[in-house]
Amino acid sequence: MNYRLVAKYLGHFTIAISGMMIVSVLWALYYMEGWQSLFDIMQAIVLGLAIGGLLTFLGRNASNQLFQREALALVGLGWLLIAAIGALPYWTTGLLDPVDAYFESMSGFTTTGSTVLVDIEATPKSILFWRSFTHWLGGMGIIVLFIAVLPYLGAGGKQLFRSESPGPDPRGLSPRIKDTASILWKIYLGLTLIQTALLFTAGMSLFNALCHTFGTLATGGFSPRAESIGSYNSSFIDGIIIVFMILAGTNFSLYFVMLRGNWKALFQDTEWRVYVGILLAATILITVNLMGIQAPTAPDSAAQTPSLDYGWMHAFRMASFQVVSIMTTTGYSTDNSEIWPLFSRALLVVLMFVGGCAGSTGGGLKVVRFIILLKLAHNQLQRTFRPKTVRPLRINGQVVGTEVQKTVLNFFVLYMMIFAFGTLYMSFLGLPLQTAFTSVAATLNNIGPGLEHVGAVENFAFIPASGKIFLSLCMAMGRLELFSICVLFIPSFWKHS
Amino acid sequence: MNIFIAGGGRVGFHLAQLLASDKQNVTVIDANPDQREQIDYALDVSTVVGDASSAMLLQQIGVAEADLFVASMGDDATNLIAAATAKGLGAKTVVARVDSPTYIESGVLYESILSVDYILSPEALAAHEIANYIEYPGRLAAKDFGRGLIKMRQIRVTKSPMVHGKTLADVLPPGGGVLLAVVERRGESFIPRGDTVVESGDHVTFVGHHEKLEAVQKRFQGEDAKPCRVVIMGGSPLGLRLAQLLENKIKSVKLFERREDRATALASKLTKAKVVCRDASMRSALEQEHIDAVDIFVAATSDDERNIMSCVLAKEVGAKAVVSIVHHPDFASLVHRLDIDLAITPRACVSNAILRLVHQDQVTSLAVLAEGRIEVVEAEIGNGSSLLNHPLKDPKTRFPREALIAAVLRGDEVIVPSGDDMLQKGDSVVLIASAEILENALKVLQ
Repeated sequence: MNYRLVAKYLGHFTIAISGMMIVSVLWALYYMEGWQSLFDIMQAIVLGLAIGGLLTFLGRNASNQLFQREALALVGLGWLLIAAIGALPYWTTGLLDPVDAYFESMSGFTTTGSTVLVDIEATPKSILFWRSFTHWLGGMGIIVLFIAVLPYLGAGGKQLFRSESPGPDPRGLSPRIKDTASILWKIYLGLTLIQTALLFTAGMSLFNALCHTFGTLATGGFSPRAESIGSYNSSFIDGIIIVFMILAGTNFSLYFVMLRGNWKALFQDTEWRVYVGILLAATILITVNLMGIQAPTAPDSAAQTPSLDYGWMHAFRMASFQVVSIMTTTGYSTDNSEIWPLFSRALLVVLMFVGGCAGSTGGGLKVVRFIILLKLAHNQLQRTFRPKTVRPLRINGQVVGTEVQKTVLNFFVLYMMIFAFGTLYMSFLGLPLQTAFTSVAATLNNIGPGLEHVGAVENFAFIPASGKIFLSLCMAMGRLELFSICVLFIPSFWKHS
Repeated sequence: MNIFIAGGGRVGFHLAQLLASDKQNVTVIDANPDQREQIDYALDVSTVVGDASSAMLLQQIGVAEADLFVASMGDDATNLIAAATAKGLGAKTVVARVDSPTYIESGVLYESILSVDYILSPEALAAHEIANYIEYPGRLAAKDFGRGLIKMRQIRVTKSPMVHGKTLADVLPPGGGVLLAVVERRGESFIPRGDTVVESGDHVTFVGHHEKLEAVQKRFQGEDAKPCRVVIMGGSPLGLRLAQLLENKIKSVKLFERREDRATALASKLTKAKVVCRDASMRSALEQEHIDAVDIFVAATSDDERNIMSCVLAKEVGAKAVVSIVHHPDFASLVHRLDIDLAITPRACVSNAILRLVHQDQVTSLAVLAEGRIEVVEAEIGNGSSLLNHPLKDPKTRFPREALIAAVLRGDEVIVPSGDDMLQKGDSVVLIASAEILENALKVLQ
């Protein structure tokens, strides 16, 4: 392991992230939050720059050769460190203690959106902006941003890109990885401008429009309002956010193909069609369920919940927003799903694991992995009665190699093991089963709110410190798709060959 | 530039590496998934698995938009087919690498028959490079620009006591009309300063006034008597080709081939050069053939170790200069430690030739040095350039320090500028810079 090199790049990342905190200073000035607030944020910036400077100094003589091991370490450590640097403003302003600050920051960068802030409306705007801004940076990927901007990464950049980009087999859009990274960021930036403008015309202030855009496109979920999008109670705003959540959960390389002239690319893509199909099906099921139609249950059954009797319009609006928000792993809410019938809530939990498409800003297992798993299962079933037939596994007409199939299976197994262990650990800390279960599901899949005590209108503040640290790790593992974080815990990874 | 390379073997890999570091868009096609994986991991290029002579595959990966297509797989026929297919599908320039002398020697223009733009043979290119080295000792590259008023010469510094171990300011004081632009030493290249010490064995590039350059060149090279006795070891296609190139230009050319049948065949293809059926890696053989009177000994067998060791031996027995063919690219940069004067890697000759093609396409480029790391371009001064009102060394011009204005052409006058000089409207300049900062430097000039 080339520690110096890792230290050097970590130093550069830290300096860049600290520099970006300037945006908070600007909002503090704009809202005239007073000298104290300015001073607190500046303190965070200076602290961050000092840490970055120290790391850069430690790596001053490093060579520039970035190998696979260094790239993995850089992504894993980089995310853990960047979350710590991003946590500084919450801490220096005295808003949160260090563990809470780290949780909030990690939740921001990983676009989870779980919060420990109890009173959001009382939080200074500058901090709220930073919170949403971390979403935006983490959504398309901090490291992808660095690849686009830094001139010197070369082939090493490709390793970094693969470790951070979601999906089973991330491919470049252009032969040069730097081009790929900058194309992705430009598309992301373009979508950001469009959505901000739309929300602004829909009546949001520029501040709220920006924060909500960051939360939507990164599939994050932080809102500067306590009641999230529901506080606007506007079907126009709901509509904009739904559309952009769906766009954010789509593979960004499809937009690139579309921009190059193939307008049908979206509809030709198997993954996208399945993705939209699931969204539609789940919306219809929940709409019907919310309209008060339920399977007959025994009178004393725990499954029986009071009928909501939503009108079909209202039911559809609430169902579609919540379904899209959960499946794309955004985590905004317009309704308190706690009062929904059990079937609807259960369906939401299932959707949590599906997540967005590969190459999107969404979390979860990704639609394409489910398609591969289902096709594998189907092939396996057929093999039981037609053992000699050879069936290639195809997606979009392309054969998926056994190597990729194996990685997807491994990934699924590891994911489920971590999830099971997490649920056990959270219940060990004294959380009720549904809370324990959904707190891990919501963080590992980068969604935000879970159910019961961590539901849409609740927060994560009551969880013990060790639980918050564990959930922070879950968020990082979910965002980086396990491997980059998991290898950090394998001792031989750190040894010299 | 959009470049496709079919075949990720040694040549393909080396080429992809050079082009990727030159910031070109490179796609490598290889039939072997493991090979693909390896390239994918090591280089910033995109990779495709498949048969590069398949028109369907080529079409699918967008070869129609290729500026350059290079076929460099193991088999000559496949390379020619792939290149011709790519050309037919719309690639702008296509190159096929061939190993067999059949396609280049027979006097038939395979290029036009197959509509392949360039057919390059590593062995033939290497033979040419060595012949060039023997004919013009020390001179590595020559180029004239600015209507012939400015000359550029790349030469190898000999052990001449006039320059070896002295600083540049001593041997080439400023104001002499000639500038030492680039020094290549042990695989590194840099733009020298006044206190740089010149060493023998350096490859140096001069730019300057056409009348004054020759004298300077002589000083760095010592006496450049044309060699008159050359010994070539190994009757490989390369050795044969070299002998053919030299036999009418050099007084005595001897080709050593240890196998009798091959020696006979070789002799029938040569007119003036003598074929000796002996193993030139034996000390006794070298001594008997009076190797101490030989000016240049070339080891050109297909075996690297034999080539290198025979060169060391020949030098020991008394050859004045030794040249070795080294096929393994990683060995080539090491042989200078063994007092071998020149090492030529046939595969690198191909990638360098292709690299020159790439740069040729960009109109302003005059020459490429140090395997593409340094470029020489001609540029005209723009009206808004900060160099019009400030002397060159003034930091206010924001002209990158690592770039060099080697010569200025003003009307019919050639000026080799110093830091105090200023540029005027209508000047055109010869600019030397590494590929990374070239763009910056050109921006300041505009």
